[in-house]
Amino acid sequence: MQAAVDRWGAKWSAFWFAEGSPQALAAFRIVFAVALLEDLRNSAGLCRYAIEGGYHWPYLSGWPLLSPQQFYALFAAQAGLGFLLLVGLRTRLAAAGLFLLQGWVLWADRLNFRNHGYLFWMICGILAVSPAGSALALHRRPSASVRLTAQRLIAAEVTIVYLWAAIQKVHPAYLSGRVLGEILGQPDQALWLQPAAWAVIAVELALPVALWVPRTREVAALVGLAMHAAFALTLNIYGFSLAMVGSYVLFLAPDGHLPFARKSTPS
Amino acid sequence: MPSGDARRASTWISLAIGGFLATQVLVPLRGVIAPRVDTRADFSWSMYSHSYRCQAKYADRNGPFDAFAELKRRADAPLLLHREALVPWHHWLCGQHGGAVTATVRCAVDFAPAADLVPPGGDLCRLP
Repeated sequence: MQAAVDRWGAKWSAFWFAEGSPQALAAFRIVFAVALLEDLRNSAGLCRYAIEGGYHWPYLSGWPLLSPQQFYALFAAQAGLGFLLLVGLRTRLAAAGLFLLQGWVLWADRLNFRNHGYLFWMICGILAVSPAGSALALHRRPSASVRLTAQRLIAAEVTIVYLWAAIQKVHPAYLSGRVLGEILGQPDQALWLQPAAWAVIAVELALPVALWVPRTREVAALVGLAMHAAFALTLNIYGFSLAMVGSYVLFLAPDGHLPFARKSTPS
Repeated sequence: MPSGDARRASTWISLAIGGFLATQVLVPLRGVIAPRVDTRADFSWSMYSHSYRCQAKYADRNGPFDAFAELKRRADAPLLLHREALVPWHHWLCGQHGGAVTATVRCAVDFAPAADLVPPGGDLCRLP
């Protein structure tokens, strides 16, 4: 029994506490910052229930709501912090600031809830304690080796998101193509809707496995890219799609080394 | 061989990772188990997965009124038409309209037959 526990503990540590290059996480940080900046405009429009006045449905009673001026100042501050995250200046501080400001809006009122904002908030939290600024950053020389815990954690989170998104769709109405038709504004039951609905579920179920398997991860990334491109073009989901596709670099470079940057890493 | 401090730090980080992953796996379960007319099931990654077709009609002593007008002025009307969201919402509406608000709120989720989310035509302000 003890031997099994030790073996399992060793595998756990080897996975979560492996050392590698910060390049992949830094590349993700850049794409994620662009996605976050893109999503801010949307978010500012959809999250106005964080502003005081009128009806509110708080997650936590007593959570401070914002005046209109504070609300827009908060989004302006997020834009500034997003830019710092993008260029790699004060990366942890920028991510921590984004985590606080995005969290303030997310938790201010349940009427604000968006799955996309929730994902962005969690990733900001992970980046705030990560070495994402240790490469591809303006303010410092790149580090040769860091713990890959944050890279693994974001990859695990992306896996969970795909898995639950697929499970949520496994019901007769979605499988028939009717839900997809309604979402896409196709009230008539077009013949392609049912195969498309099945394809979305199949891809969302396959990606959580295929992205982790060395032999399939490149094909999986291409298929995922195609799916998110379709989401972006048909549903105007740009920021979320970009963030999800950007996360593929974390799977494609499991040791953190970007192929084109491998030789430039200082020893 | 890692030092005692490093080992303790790793233990705490492992616990944090385990807790985070367990939360992420378990919290969305509610969105699968609970009926969709009862809850919006936040944090369950259910985006673009379900169809909602709802009708809501509200009236007070002066006749029918647009209950969602105030919300729609502030942002896109949020998805309020779930039983758990309607309880605090109706409480607020009753306060705004001095009691005696009646409503019919019916939703068909995923093209199933429509369900009443409140007793049709009943006084919302007298509901428990």
